[in-house]
Amino acid sequence: MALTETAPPEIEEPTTSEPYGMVRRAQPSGLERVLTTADHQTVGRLYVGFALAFLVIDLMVASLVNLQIASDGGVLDALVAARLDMNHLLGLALCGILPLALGLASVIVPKQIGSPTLSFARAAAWAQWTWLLSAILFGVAIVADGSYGGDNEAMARLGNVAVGAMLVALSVGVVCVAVTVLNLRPAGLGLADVPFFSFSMVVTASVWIMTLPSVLASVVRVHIVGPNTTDLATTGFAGVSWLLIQPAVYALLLPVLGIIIDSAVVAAGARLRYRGVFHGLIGVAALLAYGSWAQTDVARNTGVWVLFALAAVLPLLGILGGLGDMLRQERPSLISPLGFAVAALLVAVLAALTGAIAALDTGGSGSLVGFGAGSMARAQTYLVIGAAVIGLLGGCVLWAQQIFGQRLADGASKGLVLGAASGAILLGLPHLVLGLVQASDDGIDPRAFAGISAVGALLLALSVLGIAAGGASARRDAGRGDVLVADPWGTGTTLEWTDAVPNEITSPEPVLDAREAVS
Amino acid sequence: MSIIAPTVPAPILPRRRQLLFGATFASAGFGAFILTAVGMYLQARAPIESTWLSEHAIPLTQPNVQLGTLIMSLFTVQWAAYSIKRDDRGHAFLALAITLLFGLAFLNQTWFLFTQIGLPMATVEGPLFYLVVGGHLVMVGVAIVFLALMTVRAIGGNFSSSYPDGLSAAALFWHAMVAMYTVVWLTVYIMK
Repeated sequence: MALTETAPPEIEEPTTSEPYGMVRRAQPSGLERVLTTADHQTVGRLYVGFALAFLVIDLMVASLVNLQIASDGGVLDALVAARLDMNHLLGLALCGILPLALGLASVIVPKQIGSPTLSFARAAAWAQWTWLLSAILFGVAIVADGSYGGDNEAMARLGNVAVGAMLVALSVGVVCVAVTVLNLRPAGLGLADVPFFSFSMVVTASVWIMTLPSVLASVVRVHIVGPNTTDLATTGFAGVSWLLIQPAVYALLLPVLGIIIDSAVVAAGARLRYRGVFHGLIGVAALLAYGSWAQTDVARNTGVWVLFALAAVLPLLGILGGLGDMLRQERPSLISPLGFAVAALLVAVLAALTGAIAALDTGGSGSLVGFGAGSMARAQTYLVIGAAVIGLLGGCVLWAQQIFGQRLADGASKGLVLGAASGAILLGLPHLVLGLVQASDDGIDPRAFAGISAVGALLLALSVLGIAAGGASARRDAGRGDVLVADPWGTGTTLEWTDAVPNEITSPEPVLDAREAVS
Repeated sequence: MSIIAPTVPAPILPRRRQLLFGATFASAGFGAFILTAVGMYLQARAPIESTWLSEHAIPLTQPNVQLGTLIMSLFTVQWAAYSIKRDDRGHAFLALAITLLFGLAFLNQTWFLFTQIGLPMATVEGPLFYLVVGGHLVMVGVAIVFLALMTVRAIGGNFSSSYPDGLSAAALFWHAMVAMYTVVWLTVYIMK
């Protein structure tokens, strides 16, 4: 530019807060943020909150179903009772346990591996909203005389479609969590070094992604023929109900195994020896929980199925023994998460033993001893559900600060351990005893057994309600802006118990390393 | 001579292998769905094998051509992944275009096969046939959309030798899709 040229006119700076006619976008409201966020903590909290609510409802329904038997059909209309009986176990699994595990994982897994986010964060958010919408539709379908066993054809189909949508959503959600563990670890933290809950979620994802689409195939198969209510109550229900029969039912327990081990580690505040053994035990448990091959009676009641059922006890006993040895040596703090962990593991072992006994009875075409097969199967499903619920509640208490914003009162939580453990045992054990007794007396009156089971379901529901209420209260109090320590237990060893990821990670317990370096 | 000052830090690339892991899990999920559907198909066919599809014969020409199409696409999709890893963008785009063309041709062939068979849903075979073939067709559709999205990103400059993951992941899913078709081809079209 020549120096003799006239200087260009100066452009006036805009004086308004909206330059050049642009409209400044208002800050999103709280509701908009919740609806559109891909933040892993928000996504996880939504899962946890709604799953706890659905668990309470489904456990109350389980109580009603058993009360119906106890009262000889005097509580509900017979058709309503049959419909609730068919759907409440599916509700417990798909609306309660699986999403609660996914919610805990969505909040905790990124923190455990020092990642600020989940992999495919928007897919995770999509999965959470799809699951929530589908779970609500499933409930609406049941209430409106539909879903499996319902008489309203449109609502029955809606229930089937809702189950399919939940399966898709949960599959997508668990893949996001697993890829996070596989891919977003910081340098120095190998896959064998991640905390056990994160490791168990990778294993869980491998099993769920091979199982849930198999159930989906049954859902689609029934749906494409334009089914009537009878089709859905027979073929449709048979196609999805194998998810709640061994070995597939153990897939509900896989995330809980990681929570149990992490709870014991926090209680002990020490390094866990033989990490590889625990990894192997979780892996074996996952292998034995793969059940897509055992969808029909023809595939079950075979030698392989019996072997799977017998072997399922072993990894649980291995974890029990390993943790027992560590706790014996380390003199742990008797914190409530440890109580939840021990209770969950013992109930899980009882469930596996129940399955093993039931499987042995298949010898001689089901007449080796002659146990009540239906009662035994119901007992095992209830015990697995009970163990899973206790373990997941333990996870909510252990990581309450990360999930709800504040630690829950430990004394009250210890009370809930007792409530949940006794609830789970009362829920499943009467059916086990009934099944065993039926070997000698086929005509025994089941009413007393069902009555005790109803009380167990109610106790378990109240325990879930207690955690949900405590969590809601903690979430409200967390808004006061109190300064919180990162590790309320004071004995955490892994990355979720610190605010800052260390520059150099040299062991599976980086927080313990830092604590030892200071002391 | 570079016009970028040596002090400028290198751009932060996305984490590698994220899409590959995601594509692996997605492949496993689709595989579980299709294998379960095939299992249902075989279970339903076993007791009535002599009369299965007796009124609605499936011609073998179309399924064979479809298999040939997909086998050719295996080479082209791998060609695309190979080229992008060597920053050979011209060859990568050419291979992607051919692969997408093969995918669309497969959809067209499937549609033609459906019209040739004319198998109604209100038969014993209908729901199971459409569950298996339709389930795989959905996988083909997802593979095409996935590859098309990665192609658009590649055109936008997203992938290179230092970050080839998008195309590698799409290629992995494509390979899984073809593997599933071989199962469908064998069980539904050949073992009639």
